[in-house]
Amino acid sequence: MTTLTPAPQATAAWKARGGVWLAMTLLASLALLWLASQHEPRTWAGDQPLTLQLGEQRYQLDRQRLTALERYTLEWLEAGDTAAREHWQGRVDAELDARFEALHDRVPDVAEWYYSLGAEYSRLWRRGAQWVSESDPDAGARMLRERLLPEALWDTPLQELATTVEWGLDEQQRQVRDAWRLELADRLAEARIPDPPPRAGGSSAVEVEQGHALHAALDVDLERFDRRTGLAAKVAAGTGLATPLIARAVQARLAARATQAGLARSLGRAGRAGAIGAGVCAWSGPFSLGCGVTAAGATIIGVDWLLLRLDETRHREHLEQALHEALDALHTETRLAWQQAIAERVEARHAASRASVENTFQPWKAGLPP
Amino acid sequence: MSPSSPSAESSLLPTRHIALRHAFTLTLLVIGLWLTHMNLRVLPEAGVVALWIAVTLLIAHGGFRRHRIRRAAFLRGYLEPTSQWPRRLHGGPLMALRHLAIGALLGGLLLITLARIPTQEVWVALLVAAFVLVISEVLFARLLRGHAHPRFAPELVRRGALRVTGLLLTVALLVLALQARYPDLTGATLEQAVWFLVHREAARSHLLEAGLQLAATQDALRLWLGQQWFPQGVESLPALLGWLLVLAEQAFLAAGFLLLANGLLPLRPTTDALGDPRNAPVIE
Repeated sequence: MTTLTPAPQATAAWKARGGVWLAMTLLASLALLWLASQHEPRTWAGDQPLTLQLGEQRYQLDRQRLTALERYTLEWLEAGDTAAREHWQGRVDAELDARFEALHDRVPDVAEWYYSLGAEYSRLWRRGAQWVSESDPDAGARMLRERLLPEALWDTPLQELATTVEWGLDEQQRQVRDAWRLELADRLAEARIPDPPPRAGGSSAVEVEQGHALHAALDVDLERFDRRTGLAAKVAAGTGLATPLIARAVQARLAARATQAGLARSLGRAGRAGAIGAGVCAWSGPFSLGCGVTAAGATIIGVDWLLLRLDETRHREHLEQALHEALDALHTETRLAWQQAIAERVEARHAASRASVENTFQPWKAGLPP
Repeated sequence: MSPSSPSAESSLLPTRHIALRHAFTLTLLVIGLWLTHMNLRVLPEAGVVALWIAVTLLIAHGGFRRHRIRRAAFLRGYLEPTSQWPRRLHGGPLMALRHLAIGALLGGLLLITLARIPTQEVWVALLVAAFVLVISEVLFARLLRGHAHPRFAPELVRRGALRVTGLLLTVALLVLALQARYPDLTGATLEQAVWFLVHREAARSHLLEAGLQLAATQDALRLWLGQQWFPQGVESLPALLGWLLVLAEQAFLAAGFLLLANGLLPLRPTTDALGDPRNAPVIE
């Protein structure tokens, strides 16, 4: 049996320890290489500034500044849209005042026409037609409306005004937004960053999407808005109130002169006039029928003329007052309709802008990746 | 006495054992650097500062230690041992301060470079470089035994090993850098290139983030210049030399890593210097 001398024993111990160091080194190296091939370094997103695009320019801003800009933008839009609404409401008020002043000036002419024989027989004709068939019960008021508010003085100018206001509102709101863009670009001047290199690639759909979101924020609302009902249509619907308003005012003022009895009285007048005509032409022999008809007709017309003058003397002032009141009521209603339509249109676009702007400056609130 | 004789073999065993221990230590260092690389961007400010201080101290320690040996050799060669100047000039706070400054600079650069290492192959290169450092140190120690002064030989061995390894590691890193993919900055202005690379850099620590963005700035400048000068890449010798110049910053990673290793590994004595007549005071 051989025993190891102390020197070989020490050598073996050194070799063993060397083997352990070697094994540990190899193990650690392999572990490192395997781990390095498996894992990616951790990245920090933190409070990185956001990149936003306005027009062709890109800006880099921190969240606090973006939040302040969003507030500033909403305040700017609010002030601009309010100014636009007030401006156009004031302008429409002035236009309507002028328009109704001209209409009020037409009242004496309309009253003159109302107490003319032509108007009287026209009314009679319509009443007769109403008996025979189911026609418009407001035919009288409609005739008055047509006379008082002829298309050339009422419908056409109002449509033109509606078109002007619509275009003007859109233009002014667009100017508000253009001015906002210029102001914003001015405020962001020091935060401007250059475009990414054209061929570098890699930087991202997310960034571009965020950038375009801000740029499109105030344009998207235009598309939404253009699908809404136009101001002209709303206003045209409002002018339909004219006939009932005139009918109500005239009826309220001239209630004593019950129009329902008019036809019966006219027929009575015709009967009596026929009897008078027959008496006058009894001597004329074979021409008595023609003479009677002519005399009766002349008598009817003469009586009607006298009655109309009498009616005019008694009721013309009431009629004119009723027409003025109807015009005032129509003025009030039309003004309200216009104010409301303008306010709605401005608000619709403002709301669309607000909805587009909100969270556009703060994509992290909308759940977009920053 | 031949190296293969039993006595020679037994005398080499502790040396091998020390070399293996050094190899393991350096492997742990590379693992530590990898872990740092993995987490550096999410480290808080205090963590980054602590790391920077640790790296600075380690680099300064290694540099200061070797510098004192070189200074001792200089003083021994030029001054009388009985003079008071060798004692005064042997290396004190001023020398330490100088190495602290160098350590802080190189340590900071190393941390920034670590955070920006783009490919996994770099870790293979660092690991191999660690082994090359240990092996070359063993070889230099063996070559210098009996030739170099025993007191100054460790520094000489370390210097030789560091230079050889540094050269090889720099070449390896340059080759990797030449093969890496970079963003195409042709057609872009310098401003665009700088912003493009800078705005990608982010870290939890503001200090590190500033460093990363500075590094990205000079990266952008180098790459932009390189792509303006040599848009077709490496297709000729001048282009290769140009690109090597552009990518020369890889040397910082090599230098930082090797100086860190230098601070971590103790200087190894070549032989037992006790009783060596060369260590006796020189009496003329």
